[in-house]
Amino acid sequence: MPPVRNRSGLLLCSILLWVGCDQSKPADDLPKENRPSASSLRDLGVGSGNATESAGSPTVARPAIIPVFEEVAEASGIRFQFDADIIPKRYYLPEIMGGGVGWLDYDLDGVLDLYAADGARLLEGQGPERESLDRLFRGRRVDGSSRFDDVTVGAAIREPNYGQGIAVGDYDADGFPDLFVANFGRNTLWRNQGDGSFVEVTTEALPGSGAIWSSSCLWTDVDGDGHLDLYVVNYLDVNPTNYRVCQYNGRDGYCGPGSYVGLQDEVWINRGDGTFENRAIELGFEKGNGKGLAIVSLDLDQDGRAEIYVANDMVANFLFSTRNPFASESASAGSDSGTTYVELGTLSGTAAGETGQPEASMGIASGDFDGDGWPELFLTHYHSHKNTLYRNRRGLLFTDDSKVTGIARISLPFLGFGTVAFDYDRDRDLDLMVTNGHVLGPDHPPELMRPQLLLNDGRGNYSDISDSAGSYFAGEYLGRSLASADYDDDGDLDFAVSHIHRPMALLRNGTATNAEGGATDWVGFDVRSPDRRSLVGSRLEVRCGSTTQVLYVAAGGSYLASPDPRLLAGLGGAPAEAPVEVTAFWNDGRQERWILSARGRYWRLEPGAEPVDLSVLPR
Amino acid sequence: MKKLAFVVVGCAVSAVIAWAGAQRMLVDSRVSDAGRLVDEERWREARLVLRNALWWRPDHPRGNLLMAESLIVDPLLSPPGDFESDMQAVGLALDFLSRVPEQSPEYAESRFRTAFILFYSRRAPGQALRTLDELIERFPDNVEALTLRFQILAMVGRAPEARNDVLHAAELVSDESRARLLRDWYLYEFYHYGRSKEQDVRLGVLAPGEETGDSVLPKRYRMFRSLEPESSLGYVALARWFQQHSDPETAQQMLDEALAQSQDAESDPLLYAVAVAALDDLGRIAEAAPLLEKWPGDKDDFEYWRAKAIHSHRVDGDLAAAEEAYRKALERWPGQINWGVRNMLAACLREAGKTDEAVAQAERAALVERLMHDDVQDRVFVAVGRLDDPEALKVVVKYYRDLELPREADAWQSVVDWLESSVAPGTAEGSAPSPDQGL
Repeated sequence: MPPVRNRSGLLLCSILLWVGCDQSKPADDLPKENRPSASSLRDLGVGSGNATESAGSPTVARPAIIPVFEEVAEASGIRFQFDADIIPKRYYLPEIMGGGVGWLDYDLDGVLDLYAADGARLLEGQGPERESLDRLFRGRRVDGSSRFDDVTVGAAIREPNYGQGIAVGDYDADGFPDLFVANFGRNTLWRNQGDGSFVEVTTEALPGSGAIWSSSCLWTDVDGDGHLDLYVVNYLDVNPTNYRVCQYNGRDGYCGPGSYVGLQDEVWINRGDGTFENRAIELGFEKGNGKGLAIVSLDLDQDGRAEIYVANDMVANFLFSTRNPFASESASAGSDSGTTYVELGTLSGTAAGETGQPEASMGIASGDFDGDGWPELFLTHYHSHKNTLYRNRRGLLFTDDSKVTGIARISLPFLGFGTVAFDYDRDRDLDLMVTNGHVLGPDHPPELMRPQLLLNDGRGNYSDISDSAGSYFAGEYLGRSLASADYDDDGDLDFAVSHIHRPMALLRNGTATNAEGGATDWVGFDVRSPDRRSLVGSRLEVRCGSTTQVLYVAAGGSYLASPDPRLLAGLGGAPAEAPVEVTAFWNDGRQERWILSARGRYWRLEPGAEPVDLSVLPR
Repeated sequence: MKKLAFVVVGCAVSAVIAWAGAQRMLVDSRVSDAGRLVDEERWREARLVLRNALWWRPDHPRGNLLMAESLIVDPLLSPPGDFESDMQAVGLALDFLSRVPEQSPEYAESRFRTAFILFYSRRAPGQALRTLDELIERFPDNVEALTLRFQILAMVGRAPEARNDVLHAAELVSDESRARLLRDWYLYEFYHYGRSKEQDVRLGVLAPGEETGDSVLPKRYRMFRSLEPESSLGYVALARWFQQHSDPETAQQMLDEALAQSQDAESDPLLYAVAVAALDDLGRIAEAAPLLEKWPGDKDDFEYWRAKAIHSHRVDGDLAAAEEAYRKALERWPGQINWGVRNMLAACLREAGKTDEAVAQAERAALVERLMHDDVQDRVFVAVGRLDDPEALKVVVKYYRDLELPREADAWQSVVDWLESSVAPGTAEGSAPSPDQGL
């Protein structure tokens, strides 16, 4: 109908009707050719099975081998709860970070013992008067079962500081493992006297060691002189005069690392006479604003020299190496400096996530996750932020493969701390264990979180099978340190877990992997040097049947933890008659190869010596 | 007789014509009267006058504009909180606006007001944007339309799509208006909640005096989705919010809803971008190939090239194609400020063995990231609040030059030049951030 321009003009002929006109056209009025054809993403081709490779589903209904972890701390004689000294509404950051745990055989009786760092009163005049001391639990066998006794007093360890990380190492090469305890406050070095007791030697051994916030730590031969050195990761400069309370969504909570200055790490070089010298800056470890929480050392590029990787909280992570493969040709001379380290986090792709965003970085797990023989790095991060899996592309180049491996999607609801890579089902690939728990305080849910057991599909992709892992994994905690050990020597890894607000857990791994009760589908290695030097940087290639696994001799890992240093290889699925061939690539350049005569036991491997079957040695 | 008949008819026709002319003048006069009544906010009286005028001339341009205005702003017809009454008035107003003839000088104004009402009263951004698209296509220099389209796109989470509108409008307006427009552009991009608060109150998303924050976005998007379910805008904005808040599963649900419920979802490029991002988060980037193939439009914007780059990089393992796609993404707004994508390019270059280039890109990314830090943004924020202070605005110019955004930088520079060439208004109190301090 033509527009009516003039009422007058139509007055002679008609009367105009005022009719509303809707601007929009109902869908039904659309011509058929204009109607949308897709009513879902599936109609657009998503999920139509055209993916050639994708991550596993976030959960599996039931894994092929049901994980069995029994919480046996109290039944085993371990009664310990970390004294975090949390005072409601105070929000003093150290109180929410937890304490460490470490495994060692301090009395060389062949049974692992457990050291648990305890907290302390953080601020003078605040909180109840009490003395919380670190504890040493001695392991023993009773009728085939493992028991622990608190021998702290007898061991003469009186450590009253606010405990953080633990490092176990025989720094004086007398055969007895010594202890270094990192604290919020004064760190302490405990020399094992070999008679069941320790003596604190901090003042004389670590001159100038201050009282700051140290976190994780490890023993390794940093300068390659054969002596065991000590790397101490330092976290934040937090003290009573500078600490603040932050607000999140209008409610008070702990201020995070962004509110504080980071601290320089310490690298104590062993002089060989029982004393050390902090040579961090001289050796290339000067990085002023590190906010480190975790550390691991292993040979990431298979050159026989271990790298040192430090996970920093919300700032770039550090990857220290004596070799710089990224140096231009003109600068290549001197790129392998021998004892001086260069920081390669950004160049290697391990400083931050794929978008360059620094991540929270609480704990580290390492190992060959995708079965290509090269070690990956796995870091735990903040709630609603993914954990990160750095895939090794060789030559110290890594890519953030968190998303494509499924790690990203299954980690978003959690805030991770301690983590360990291990083969729970002995199918010859590395699964992951993660402890979780938030850090903002009870006014910011979710506070408590369940731990996770993540299943490797054999290609380095992960699914969350925690629902099948038993009652401990169904609970929610403020999980912090996680230290792995085969404390019952049955060929699978068990875990000590330190929490806040809850007693320590001892998770005994009782997973059944074959009809014979797991007797033949594993082999373990106790790797030592006859001259007691560090073998960190070495690796073992274990071949059985058609599969080769690469195990890395490493130091550190997880969060504030010191693990059982022995190595385990699952042999599930390998033909029963297939021999176990082991090739050792020692960190001094030597290679040795053996064929083991039996499985289902630990073997002692030493450079230049034949393997020793530890199952036949008297305890 | 015939002659008499001709004379009679002739007189009658002349009389009609004269009467028609007089009526036309009378209608115009009545419309003018109505305009005065509208100015005096005597809405009902204005409508009575207009009703009479429009009965005679239903297509009177100004009359229809005034009638629509009186229907919308009269609180008796649109009581606060009375959504139903409000919508009745809105419907009537839109009807009147639709009667303004295309050939009339008021046509553009009528379409602008239609879009305005559709968005602010009916909360229908899809219809509003379609109206503006048609208007701008016909009148590409209509500043009001360009500005409103920018605001609407910003409120549906698509501010980057408005960059050309903003910068084109900035070329057309006065220097003083340019400054305000550019400030809005900066605020919507970097201080969205603060800038959009006024709009959210106007739309009823926020109560007057209520604090704004991240939670306002899903509330706003849900409102759009609810009130205009046939448009993909609300769904896709909500999906993107969930994806950016680490909930890719819910993002996918929103996208499925969009495809099931709205007419235009299948042709919405941003839907595809969010779908690819969600798949990436879920570890299923390999399933994105069909989306890249079916991607609507000219496949030449930041979102497409970003998605293409990730797929080439992570699925195809084609580093050369990935590098090319990353670079194209970075050349298209907002790629220039997306340091995350630049770091992904750096990673790609590292894998390709192009270490020096990787280092350069990583360094550039770090610089851009640094420019996004609070301490830098705070100084720019202060500066854009001092639109009469050329020294303050030089901070903004430098900021955009550091970001390598010459269009914005030059636009701000023109404001500075105008201020410096104008009579000095007097010394600004306090100290403006100095560009020499660096950002």
